[in-house]
Amino acid sequence: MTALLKGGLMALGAACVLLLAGAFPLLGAPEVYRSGAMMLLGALVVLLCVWGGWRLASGRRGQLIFGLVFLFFTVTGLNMLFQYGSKALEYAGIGGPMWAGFVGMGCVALTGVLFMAVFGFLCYRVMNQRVLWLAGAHWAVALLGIGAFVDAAYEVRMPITMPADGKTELTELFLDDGRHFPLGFRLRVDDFTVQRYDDATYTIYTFENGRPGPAQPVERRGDMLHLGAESWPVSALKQAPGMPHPFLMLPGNPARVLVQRPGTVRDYCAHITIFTDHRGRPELRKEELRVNTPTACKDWRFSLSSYRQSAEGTEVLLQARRAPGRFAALAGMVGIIICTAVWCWWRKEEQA
Amino acid sequence: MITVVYALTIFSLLLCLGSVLAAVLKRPGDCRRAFDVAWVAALLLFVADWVLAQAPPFGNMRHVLAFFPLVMVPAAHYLRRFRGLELTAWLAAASAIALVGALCMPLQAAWRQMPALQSPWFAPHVVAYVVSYGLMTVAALLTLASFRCDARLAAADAVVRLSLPFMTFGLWSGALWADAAWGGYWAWDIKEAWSLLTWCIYLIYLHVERYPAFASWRRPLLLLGFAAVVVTFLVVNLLPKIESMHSYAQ
Repeated sequence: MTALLKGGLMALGAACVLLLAGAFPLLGAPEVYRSGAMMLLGALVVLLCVWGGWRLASGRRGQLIFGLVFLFFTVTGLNMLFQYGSKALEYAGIGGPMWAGFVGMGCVALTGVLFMAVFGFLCYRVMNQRVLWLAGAHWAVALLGIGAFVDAAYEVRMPITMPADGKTELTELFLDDGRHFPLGFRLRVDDFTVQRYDDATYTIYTFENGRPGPAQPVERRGDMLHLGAESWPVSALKQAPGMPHPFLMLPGNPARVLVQRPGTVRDYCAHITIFTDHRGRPELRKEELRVNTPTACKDWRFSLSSYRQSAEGTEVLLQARRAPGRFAALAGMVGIIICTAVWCWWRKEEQA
Repeated sequence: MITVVYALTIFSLLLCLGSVLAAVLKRPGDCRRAFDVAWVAALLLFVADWVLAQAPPFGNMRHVLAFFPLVMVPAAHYLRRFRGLELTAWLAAASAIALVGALCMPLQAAWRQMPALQSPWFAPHVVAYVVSYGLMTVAALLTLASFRCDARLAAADAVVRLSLPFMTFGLWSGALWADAAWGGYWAWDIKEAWSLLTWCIYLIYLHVERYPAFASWRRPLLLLGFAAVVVTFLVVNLLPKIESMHSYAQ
């Protein structure tokens, strides 16, 4: 055990040195993390974790494996509660037939609670020794490492810029390195909406001899804008083709223009349509893509990263990703969280 | 409202200092009572911050530092009741340090929650890290005190064991959140790299703490871990030259 421990300590120490070398604050986070040294170290950590978990669970390995399977189903129940609970809240926010939504979500939530109760009880009975949770934490790290390795080798990730015109369709991806991936479905951005906080600012820009002079902030009181003795109604500011923000040309010499800077972005949403197939039949999916709610189709996941607005229209910045190791990595993370918590918080006197 | 926020911060700070003073004067009852009142003041401060920011007040460094006493008081009760450790004064000292930090930060009245932060992961992620960093501060103070009294090191160990699951949750819940928000669970952002480094140092500590052969490693590892916490929490956010995906926390 001491040799294994020393090996583990050396691997962790090496990981710390490598992280420190790369993560020194003024250097930023360079490419050292994607280097061969990190890959080698990752492989070593995975092997040590598998071995360490195996040794820790000596004589109780069957118990550990069954316990982890039950833990997986318990977490699945928790996930159902979390996912559908948040969707129920979202549904309540949208309005509509509330009772139908709540009954549906309530049924799913009840299923989640039952899953958690049954499998959580079984997990509790099987994993009734503190050391098994420590072994589980080691295996969870190994699972995360394996997922990360699979992703490092096979992940495809690409930023995409798409106009929100309801016409342009995404059917395949061309990576910078020349690789080409047909998606197997079509994706279109129909519309894009932006919500803003009510903190727009107003500024007057003066132009003298064609050059911009000093900018003067304008105070808003109710529906009126004030600067000294002058005032203008907010409704007088208008949008115009080629101008990114509402503005008002003010009379007099030198030329002055009153411009509204839009408020801070509160939320944005891309309304997308996916033309795919389900069990051999064509399927049309209309979805709302938001920053924290990506969508998935076949092996691909699409996240909304950002957007660009110009006089020509809105361009939506998406991230397309195919990550075969993602599920293993995420399961490993959840396993680490749970197993570490139980191991650390389990009272020491209950070990025996 | 800004005056109220400052007044509550100062009141909470004075109560935390009073709690430490009561412990020094060997009056444990007064120490606990002062810290409990500090919790009420911190709760009022949290509400005032929420009203001022019009959103859950975790938007900047001041918000987060002012939140420390709110989690330290329940931790003190937990440690006393379930672990048999009377560490109220140490947790009050850690809270006082955080509140001094909060007073040094600019008070940004309006905080606008950007779309990426509008996630169910936001509050649990931040709260878990606040609990963890607060407790690791206590562990570091106890480690320093252990140079004079060895028994403090055992208390530091208990505090690290309470804290590490929160740090683990903070780190990996951040990765789960990033998977939804940024389209990938890990991006080797500098804040992520430092968080992982901090976590690894405490993992080394947990691996060595029960082996007498490594007894001399314990204090340096705890202090090194705390130094990494400071860099992760403060330095990475406050150095202006650093470009980070977590820059909204500046």
